[in-house]
Amino acid sequence: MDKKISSSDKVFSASHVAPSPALSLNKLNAGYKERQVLFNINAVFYKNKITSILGPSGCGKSTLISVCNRTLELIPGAGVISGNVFLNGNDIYDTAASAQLIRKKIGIIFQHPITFPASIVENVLFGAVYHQKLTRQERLDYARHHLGIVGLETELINRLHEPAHKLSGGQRQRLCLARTLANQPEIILMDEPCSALDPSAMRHIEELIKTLSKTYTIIIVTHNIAQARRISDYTIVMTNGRIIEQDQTTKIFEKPKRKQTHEFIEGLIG
Amino acid sequence: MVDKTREVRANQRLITERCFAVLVWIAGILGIFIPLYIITFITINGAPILSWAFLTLPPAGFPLGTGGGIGPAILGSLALITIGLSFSAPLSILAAIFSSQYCTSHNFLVFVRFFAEVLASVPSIIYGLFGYALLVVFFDLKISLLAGGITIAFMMTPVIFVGTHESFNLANKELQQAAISLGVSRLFYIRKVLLPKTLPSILTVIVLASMNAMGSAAPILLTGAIVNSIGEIRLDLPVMSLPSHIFYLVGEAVSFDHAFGTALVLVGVLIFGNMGVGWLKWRYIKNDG
Repeated sequence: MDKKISSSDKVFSASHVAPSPALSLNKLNAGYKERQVLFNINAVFYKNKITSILGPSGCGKSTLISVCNRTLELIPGAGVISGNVFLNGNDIYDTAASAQLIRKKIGIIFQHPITFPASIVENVLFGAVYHQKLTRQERLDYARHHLGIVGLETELINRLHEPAHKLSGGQRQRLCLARTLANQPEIILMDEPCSALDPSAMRHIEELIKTLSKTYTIIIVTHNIAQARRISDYTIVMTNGRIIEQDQTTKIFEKPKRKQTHEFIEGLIG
Repeated sequence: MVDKTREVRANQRLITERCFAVLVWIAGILGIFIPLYIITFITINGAPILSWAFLTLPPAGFPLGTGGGIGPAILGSLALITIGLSFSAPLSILAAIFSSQYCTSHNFLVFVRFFAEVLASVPSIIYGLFGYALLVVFFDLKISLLAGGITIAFMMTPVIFVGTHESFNLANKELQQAAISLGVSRLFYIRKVLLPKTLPSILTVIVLASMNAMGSAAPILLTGAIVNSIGEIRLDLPVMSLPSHIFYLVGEAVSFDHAFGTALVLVGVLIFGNMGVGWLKWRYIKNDG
């Protein structure tokens, strides 16, 4: 239960002095009913750093992050086959661990911004009112504060009680981020959060991710190689359910150790 | 040669497409015209008898039904539907929640769904027979509002269950994932997201089931209906109902005018019921999406 994973897991360059780990994956195998998708995954995600997960379609990137907050098990027949995921040294798949608490601590943002059939304020407060006791006045202030963090407060000051579905795609994605932040997570997982957005909204989200990394550990799955290069501190490259290389982003892009990594970032394999 | 074959094929496609369009137009016009014709026919024949007295007074005259009105039948029909709904709506919605959110056995789900669909299509007289045997005879509820209401609940439950289950399944799975991934419980998700999201569809299916049950004479003829009443609504007493009153007026050749008048009231209730739900749905979708 209290097995500690150190940051010296030979996953990064020897010269690199890594910060303390927030989340560690140890010999992880996972999959769906009929097929295994992840094979022997060892990875470390560092506190207050942005880690990008890159790889071709179907390589298991999304499965990997859904393993990290136990959302994979929501799919019938899917789950972890073996291995561990450690959050602050504690295995999140331990029988004593509460899946609800794990999901609170490790928030996730999906590719398509999904708003609930309620007002903007109620959307922000969705998880917060479940996990915390907030008075009526506190609720509004709390929602406004988190909308402020994602830069929506001034934009939506007169629309706070309007249905959330009326917002644009970029605004809805920021609303989803505000909803996750209002849950007070330690880690934020993002599954291609910009792929459904236009370039302007994407830029906005990227800036936000950089700002948030001062407070949160961020793990981002992306197809966009340039985006990974722009925003992340660390990069993991995957193919066929396996991690082929993980290191500091600058090293991955400037001096990849593996030929496959080089080919992928050069766009030679898709 | 090749060009000519292509041209012939293109012409054939064009003819097929035009024939299909004509067929669809005819079907569409018939689809609108037939219900309109039925409603107009009932209105023309039933409107002359309508009056405040007809809507409020009990039947009178000799033979009974040639005078007076249908006040107790309107009240009785509403009471039967209220009792039927108070049993069937919560039961079916809870069963649909169980089957879509908690049940993990695919085979069990297929089994339940199959039998619910079969039950939803069972003729209403069979529910009447079952209600009579179980409630009136076995549980000794007598022919009463309660027995009639529960029989109607038997009839509505599979319809509401299948419709609600379908709307739960159609609700975006991503919505569930987004909610649960915030660390909330399944119950919280059901209460705050699933039910509000599917409320318009659930309302529609409830109203359709109620309207269908309200218009059925067969299930209550054997369990809860009576030919005459002064309008007293009690669980242990039988009640008049609109469809059974029409059945009596026509079956006994009492009064076709009164039968058409009753039919017009029944159709009016059904139209207003559907319009009411349509309005509620429109308002809900407009406000909450």
